[in-house]
Amino acid sequence: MFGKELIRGIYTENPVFRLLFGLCPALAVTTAADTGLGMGLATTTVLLGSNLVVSLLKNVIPPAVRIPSFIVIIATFVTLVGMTMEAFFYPMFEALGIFIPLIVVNCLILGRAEAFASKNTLGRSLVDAIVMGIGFTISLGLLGAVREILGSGSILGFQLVPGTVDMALVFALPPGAFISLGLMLAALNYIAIRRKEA
Amino acid sequence: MKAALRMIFVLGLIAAVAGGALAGVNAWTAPIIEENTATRLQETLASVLDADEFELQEDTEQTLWHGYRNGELMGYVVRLRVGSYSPAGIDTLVGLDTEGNVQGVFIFGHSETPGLGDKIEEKWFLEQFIGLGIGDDIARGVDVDGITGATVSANAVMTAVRNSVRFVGEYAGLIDEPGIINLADVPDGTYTGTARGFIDNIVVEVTIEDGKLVSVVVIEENETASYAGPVYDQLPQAMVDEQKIDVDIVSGSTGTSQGLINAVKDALAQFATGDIEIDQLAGGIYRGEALGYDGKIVVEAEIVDGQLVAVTVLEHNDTPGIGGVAFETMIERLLAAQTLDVDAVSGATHSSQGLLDALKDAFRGAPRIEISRMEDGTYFGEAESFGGLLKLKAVVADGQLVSVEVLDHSDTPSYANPAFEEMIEDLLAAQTLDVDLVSGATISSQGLLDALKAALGSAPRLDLSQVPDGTYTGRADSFGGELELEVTVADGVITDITVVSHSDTPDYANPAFEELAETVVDEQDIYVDAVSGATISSRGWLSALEEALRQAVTD
Repeated sequence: MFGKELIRGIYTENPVFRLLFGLCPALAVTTAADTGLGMGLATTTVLLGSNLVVSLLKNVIPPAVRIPSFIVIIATFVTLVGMTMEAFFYPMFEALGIFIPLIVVNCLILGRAEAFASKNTLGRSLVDAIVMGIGFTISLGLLGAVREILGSGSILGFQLVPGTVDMALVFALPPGAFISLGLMLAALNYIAIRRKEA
Repeated sequence: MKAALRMIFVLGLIAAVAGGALAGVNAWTAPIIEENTATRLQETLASVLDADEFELQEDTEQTLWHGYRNGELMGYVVRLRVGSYSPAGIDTLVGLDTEGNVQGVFIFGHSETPGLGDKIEEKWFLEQFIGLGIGDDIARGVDVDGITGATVSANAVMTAVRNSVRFVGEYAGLIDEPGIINLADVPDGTYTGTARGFIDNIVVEVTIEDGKLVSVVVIEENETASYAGPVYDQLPQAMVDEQKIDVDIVSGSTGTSQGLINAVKDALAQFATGDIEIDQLAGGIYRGEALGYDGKIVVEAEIVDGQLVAVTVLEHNDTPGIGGVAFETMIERLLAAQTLDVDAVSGATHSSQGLLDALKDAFRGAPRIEISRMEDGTYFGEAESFGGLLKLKAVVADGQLVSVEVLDHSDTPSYANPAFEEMIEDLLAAQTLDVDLVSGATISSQGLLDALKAALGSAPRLDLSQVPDGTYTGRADSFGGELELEVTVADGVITDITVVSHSDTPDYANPAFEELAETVVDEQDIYVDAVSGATISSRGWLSALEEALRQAVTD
C-alpha cells in the first residue's frame, strides 16, 4: 500500500518532473545537491504540517474561506521552519535565503492541501505529504546533483574531478538550471512514452 | 448571517492559534539566533583584525570594538554606514591596529547595483587599504584605486575607511584633537577654507561679525547635487543658529557633511587655541601684538623651514632698562628652545609674558612673505591644488621675484594653464603674494599661491639646471667623520654620484649611499628623504652633495 504510494510520489505523480509543481525553488536553489536536498526537506516538513492541520480541520473550515485558512496555516508552518532553521541550521538557512519564506507560495503545498488533504482522512493525508515530500526532495536533490557535478565537478561538496579542471560553470548558473531541468524532463517523457508504447 | 459569523470565527481562531504557535517558537529560537549572530559577528570581526576576543565599547560616537588576543589590546574595529549610490548606503567594518593602520576592511552590507557597485566587495579593492593609516590621504588616485563604473560606491568605501581611521585616531589619542575654535576669539572678517568632501574639495567662505558666526557660504564644490543639496541647505543654517561648527551631519550624506564642517574648521583653524608648534608653521614673517607691562608690544618673527630664525620687537613702551634686557634674554631663549614654552625673565615677568603673548598672536595669523627681504636664490615649493600636488620653482634676485615656474601639476590643463600664466604675470608685476585669484580656476590659482608661499617660506635651494656639466667634489661631516663624494653632471642631469671616502659604519652607510644615489639620479632632486636606519650618514651624504653642486654654481 505505502510502496504503491511511494512510487506515485517519486515517479508517476512526481511533483517536479511530472506535475511541474514548485519550479521556482527547483530552479533557484539547486546549484548544488545539498541545497536541493535541504530545500526538499524544508518543504516536506511544511507539507506534513499543513496536510495534517488541513485534514484535521477539513470539516470545520467553511468552504468560502478555505483558501485564506490554508494560506494562514501554510505561512505559519513556513515561518516556524524558517525560525528553526535559522537557529539550528544556519548555513543552510543562509544558502536558501529568500526561498525559505517563498515556500508559502509553492503551489505544491497549497495544491496538496486543496486537492488532497481537505478531502481525505488524516492517515491518507499524512502518507500523501510524506510521499510527495520524498518525491520533491529526490527531484531537487537529483537536479542539484546533476548541476553540481557538471558545474563544479563535485557532489555534496566532495570533489570528484581535480579542482584544476574547468567545469561547465553555466550549470551552476541560472541558465544551467533551465537546461538541466529541460533535459531531465525530456528524458523522463521519453521513458514514459516508450513504456506506454511497449 | 450565521454563515458569515462562522467564517469570521474559524478564520480568526486559526489566525490566533497560528500567532500563538509562532510566538512560542520565536521565544524558543530567538535567544539561540541571537547567540549565533553574536558568534558570527565575532568571526567577522576576526577577519578584519587579528584578535580572538572583541569587546563592544559603549558611549562611543561610532560603533567600536576593542580586539584582544591573550588579554592584550591588538587594535580596534569600527563599524560605519556611509551614504552611497543606493539610499541604504554601505555598512563597513574596518579593523585597525593600535597605531591606527588598517588591518582589514569588510563590507558588512550594501545594496549597490549588482555587477557594478558590488565590485566593492572584490578582494583586490579591499586589500589595497591594508597598511594605510593616519597621515595617509586614503583617496582615489592618491593611495588607492577606484573602480571603473562604480566610482560612487568605491568613493563611499574610501570615505568609510578614511573616517574610521580618523575616528580611531581621535579615539585612541593617536592624533591631536584639532584645536578648539572659540568663535568669540575670531576677529571680524571673512575667511576661506577648503576640505575634501565626498567627491572633491569643498571651499567655503565663513563670515564672523562681533565674535558671531553670521554666514557660511559654499563657493566651490563638485558633489552630487541630490545628496549635497540638503547638506548645503541645513548645515550652514544650523551652524549660524547654534553658533558652533560641529553640528549634526545629514544622514545619508556623511562625506559631504564632514567635508563642509572640515572646510569651516580649516577657514578658522588659525584662531584655534592650543599649543603652537613652531615646526608646523608655514615659513614667512609673522607680526603680532599683545599687552606688556605698560602698553602694547608689537613683534615680528620669521620662520624658515619650520625654524624660528628671528624675533624683533618693533614697538614697546616698557621700562627700557628692564623690559629691553628682558626682551633680549627672552629672544635668546626662544631661538634656542624653538618653542614658546620658555621661562619668563625674573624681574620682568610682565614684559616677558607680553612678548610671548604677542608671538602667540603673531603665529595664529597668516605669515607675510616680504619678497624684498628674501635672500637671493631659487626656492622650491609644493601645495595641494585642484587635481593633486602642484610643484613650482621661484627665483628671487636682488629682493625681486624674477620668475615663477610650475614644474608639475595634475589640474585640468585647459583651465589651470592660462590661470597659472595670469597668476604668475600678476605676481611678478605686484612683487607681493597679495594678488587676486583667477576666477573660474580659483582652486588652481590658490594651489599656485600656496605652493609659492611654501617655496618662499623655506630656505633657498640649489637649482640643478644652473649647474654646468662637469664632475664636482663635495665634503661634509657625517656619522664617523668627513665624507667626500664626487658628482657628475652632464647636460644638466646628474648622472653619477660616487663616495670617494667616508668613515661611517660600512654595513649601514654603504647600502644607504647606494640607495640615495639611485634616488637622486632617478628623481633629479637632491633634496630627498634620508634612508631610515642610516639617517645621520644620509644627511652627511646629502650635505656633501649639495656642497659639491653649490660650488659648481658659484665657481
